Amino acid sequence: MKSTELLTRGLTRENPVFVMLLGMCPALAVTARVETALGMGILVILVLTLSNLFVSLVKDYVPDQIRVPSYIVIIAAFVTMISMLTEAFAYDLFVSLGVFLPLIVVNCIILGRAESFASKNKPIASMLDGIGMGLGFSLALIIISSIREVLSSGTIVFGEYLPFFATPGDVTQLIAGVNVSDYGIAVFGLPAGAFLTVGLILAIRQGMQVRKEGASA
Amino acid sequence: MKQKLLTGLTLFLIAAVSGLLLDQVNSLTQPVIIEAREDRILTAYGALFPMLESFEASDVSDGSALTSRVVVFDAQANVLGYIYQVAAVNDHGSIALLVGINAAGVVVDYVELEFNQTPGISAPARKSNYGFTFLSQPIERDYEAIDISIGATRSASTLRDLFAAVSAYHGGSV
Repeated sequence: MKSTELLTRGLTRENPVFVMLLGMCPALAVTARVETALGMGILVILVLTLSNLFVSLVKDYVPDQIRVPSYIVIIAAFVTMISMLTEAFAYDLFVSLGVFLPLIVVNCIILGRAESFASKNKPIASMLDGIGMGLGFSLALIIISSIREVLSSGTIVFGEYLPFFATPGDVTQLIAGVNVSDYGIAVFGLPAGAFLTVGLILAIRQGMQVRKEGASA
Repeated sequence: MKQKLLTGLTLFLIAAVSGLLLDQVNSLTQPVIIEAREDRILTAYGALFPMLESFEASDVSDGSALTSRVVVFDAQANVLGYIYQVAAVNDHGSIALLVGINAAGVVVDYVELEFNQTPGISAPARKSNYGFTFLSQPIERDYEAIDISIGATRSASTLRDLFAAVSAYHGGSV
């Protein structure tokens, strides 16, 4: 499989959230704000890339009976390391993600890619798969959170949680001179809004798929 | 038997390497985390008592939720008040507070150093919602009479217990 295909297939064709319906817990829980979704996406890319690399490196030495426990130990170690680094260097993000940061350990995408790809492929290909799937997961989170944040508050605010946004800023406060934050739909900021948004995106995607298959038949 | 030993040894090696990596990352991040935590506490002292000029901190080990007590002074070395650090763990996680009490024994403000409770469900017990129950009130009062039926009963109950622990210590120490 080509490197570009490994990097891009997670974005659309095999998107972990919208196609495989994996990692739905963080996709629903941390997508009220684009900035926290972006933070979660970056952390998942790191964990997925490193765990895929290490699983691929040790795959030939791990007996079948302890395959899954070994992968879980590797994934848990990387999540703990990333958690420590986040607490030290991005404390606001650490607090905003709360319990969902350690819960990356049980994110199905991570163990799923370790088992279905990294345990059967070479280290470089596994790393690229990790990056590609991580990017696909991040893209899904950003799409969901963009819809939710704009609909719930009329704005997308950056600069509160991630250290690389220097000052708090607001990118969409005014549209055509109207302060859209006055017209926010509060439910989209709540857990129910996450289910509504994901459901609508999945329905649109499925509708497009059915139409495409009908056209080609 | 040999196969079982080999399997066990493999799992042990993976765990050992993971542990070593964790140790390295921990030694890198621990000083930064401790320093940042101390900075946040000092910032919180300033937020609780803006006139703070100096303070005397002492550790408390009376077996209660209290971990430290700070006496706060102004520029003329008059006692402005006291700050108590309290922490507790309940079924939903942990709560750690800094409670500021002025020289007259009234709660001036408190800071949530940690509020690791179930996300969403615990929101009614956050300071922005439930704080009025404790703010601007004498620290010595009947805590059993405080209503905790706010939709986040366990978190509210833990908060109430933390303030009660401060009250019990403060009453005996001032």
